[in-house]
Amino acid sequence: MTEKIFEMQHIDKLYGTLLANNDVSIHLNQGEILCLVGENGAGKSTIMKILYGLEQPTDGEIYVKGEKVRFHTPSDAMAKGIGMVQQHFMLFENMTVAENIVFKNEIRKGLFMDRKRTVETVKELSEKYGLKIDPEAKIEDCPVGLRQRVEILKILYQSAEIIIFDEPSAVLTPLEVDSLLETIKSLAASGKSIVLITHKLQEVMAVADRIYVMRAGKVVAERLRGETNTDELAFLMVGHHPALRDVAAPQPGEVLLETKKLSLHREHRDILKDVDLHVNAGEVVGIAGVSGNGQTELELCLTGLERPTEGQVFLLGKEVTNASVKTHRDSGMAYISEDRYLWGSAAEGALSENVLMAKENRAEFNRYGFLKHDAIKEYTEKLIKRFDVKANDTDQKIRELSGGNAQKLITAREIMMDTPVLICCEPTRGIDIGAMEFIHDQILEKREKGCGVLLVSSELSEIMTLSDRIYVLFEGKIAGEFKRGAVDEKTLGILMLGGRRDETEKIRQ
Amino acid sequence: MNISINYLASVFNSTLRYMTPLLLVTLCAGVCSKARVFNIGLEGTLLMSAFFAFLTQYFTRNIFMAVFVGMITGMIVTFVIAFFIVRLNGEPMIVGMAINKFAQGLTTFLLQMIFHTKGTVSDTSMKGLTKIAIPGIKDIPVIGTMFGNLTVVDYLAFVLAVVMFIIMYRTVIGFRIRCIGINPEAASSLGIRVPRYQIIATTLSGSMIGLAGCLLSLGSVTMFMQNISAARGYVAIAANNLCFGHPLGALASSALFGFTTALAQVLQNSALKQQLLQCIPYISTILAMMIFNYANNKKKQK
Repeated sequence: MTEKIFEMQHIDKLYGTLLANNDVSIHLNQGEILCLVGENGAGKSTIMKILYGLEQPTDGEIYVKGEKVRFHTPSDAMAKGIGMVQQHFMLFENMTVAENIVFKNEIRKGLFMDRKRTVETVKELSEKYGLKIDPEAKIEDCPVGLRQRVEILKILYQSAEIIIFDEPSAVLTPLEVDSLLETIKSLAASGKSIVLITHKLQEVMAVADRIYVMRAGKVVAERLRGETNTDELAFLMVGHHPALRDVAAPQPGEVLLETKKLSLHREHRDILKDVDLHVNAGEVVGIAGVSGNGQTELELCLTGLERPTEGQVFLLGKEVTNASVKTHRDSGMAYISEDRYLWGSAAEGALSENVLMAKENRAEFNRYGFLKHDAIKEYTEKLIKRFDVKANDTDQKIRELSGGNAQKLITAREIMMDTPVLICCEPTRGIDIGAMEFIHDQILEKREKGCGVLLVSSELSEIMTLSDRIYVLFEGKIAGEFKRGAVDEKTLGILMLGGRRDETEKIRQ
Repeated sequence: MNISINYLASVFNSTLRYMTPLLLVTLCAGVCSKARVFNIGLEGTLLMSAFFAFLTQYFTRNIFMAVFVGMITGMIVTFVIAFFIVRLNGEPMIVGMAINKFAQGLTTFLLQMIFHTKGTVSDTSMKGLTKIAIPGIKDIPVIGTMFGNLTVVDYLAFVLAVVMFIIMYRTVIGFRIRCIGINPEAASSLGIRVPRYQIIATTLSGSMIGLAGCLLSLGSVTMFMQNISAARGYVAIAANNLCFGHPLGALASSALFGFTTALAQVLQNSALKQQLLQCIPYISTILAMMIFNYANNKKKQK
């Protein structure tokens, strides 16, 4: 009964001199959920892009339902029933959900769009697969999770048999991830065959039937879900066992960063309400919360990018409320932002230029207003080496680096600012285990040095591992404060979703 | 100043006549902006269309031929612009400016070569576009003045606004063009040949600039003069911005410009300096854009 719906044999893919896929042979069975796991740059996205016609293989053969195929464009692949939900959504913002779904195969009445039937068809489709959407809502009003649903429906509308998901959970909140995994399971149950590219092993264990592990362009292992576990998969992915983190007890010193009744109103809503928090020297303070509960605004208020409506911010005992970003930075704050391309770097700038940012006035790089190129290059090379950034040279654009490497470079820059306070937001979102461990090490090293670190993350495990103290943020308010070890994931989870305070034991410092 | 109802009717009439060429150009600008082809070469396109339509009429004395040549000129020039921007990846600002400068040079040069003049050419024996006098209406005192002196193309401009609305917002092809403009990458990921759509859509819409050109040189007056387009191509970009590329909105935004131009004309006999008066249309365009954007931002914030 297990019929191979597609098979790729001995695929090689060469980018210049880089072998992105090396003799990769994989197949997918009818109605199966197949997971491709591996670190960033392991070649898992590449192999699926080849299947979807976005990339051409250097060598190797592809069979779909036993027939040998060669796809030159995604349209070729779609014609054979292969669809891909990409990481970057391909949607038309000011069009409705229904219009997005039918694009290219519009329901017509002669030359005209048949709007009524379009909406009906999309509604039927969404009901058939249990993917709830409002066909007449505009995409720009839809949250990320819904947009992804539209992408899935778009593929289903084109009657795809094989659906490829490329790191679908990278952009989602934990709740949305759960619902996505349910969707994936029910799609498989309805006879679709699914490939899920991911490096989140909990997801793999939740849905996979079969798993390929890739490393450095090769398939290193094939496992059925029943015969493996997250530890083994992590080992296979990284090539060694991830170090168990043993964090020394904190030695908190004086208060470095403090907010008093910090509030932000926007459009008649409280985005932040009476936030009181503090970060001491020598500790990592975590802000837990489902994204969209004020974390972004909190980080913007703390760094001077946004002005709070009320309340005060103190940095090293000095009030910096409403002060400029420069004042914040000069007073001793570094900031790893949540969006590495929007705030964290100039994506089109060279690595050396990105490293130089905020240091351009220092005497070591600047003489009478002229930049010292050799010194900058040397410094960039030093950082690249020390922070293990995989890059060709210092003139490369930061956009050309993989997400993990770009993040490492940004982290390097901010850590080298050598400030008493570091604010890092989602420092490891969408990057692989290796880079994540590295960044975690850097954060802890910072703490060892007696600096205060504020860590905002929607990854609960990250918060739990690194933080000495945890604040839970829910709808812009602090919903709880805990010391390390005084709380479990479940309790935090309840508070993050708006559970009542007295349901959990609260420990005040 | 003696304001009579007849006077107002004639202001209304000149508003219409100033408005229609601009409306046609704005409609073309609308298609270009919806298809995400940033076309600032409208001005040059308009100038060349006006010139070649005039030239054809001068030599053939065949108004159909003249209009046809005007439209073809509009399409060819727009095609060149679109081709350079879309296919050859030219910087739109530079492509557009090059076309505008080229049009100025070419028409001045040909004017000199053919008519041995640097300024204005007119020939009283030459006929322009057919004026439509609607029977029954033309004899009613005020209304007759309001709708007097309008040509076929003036009326056609209004029809085209509605037609363009139907094409862009009701047909499949218009839907695709709008989608392409919103996110070309997404469209091409679904196997749409984006550049082809962009070039064909803009080229076809260039025929409307051709019509506008005919209105300038063969409309209410039959003459060609240097720089006859008088920045209408640029104003159309502003008018298009005001209406967000919507063909029906273009009616309103070009009417605004038509009215302010007519107003400037009317006030000519007043004490105000003429140069100052000529600024009115442009200043009001800028003001309208500021107000619109402000209101829009307000709406978005809510």
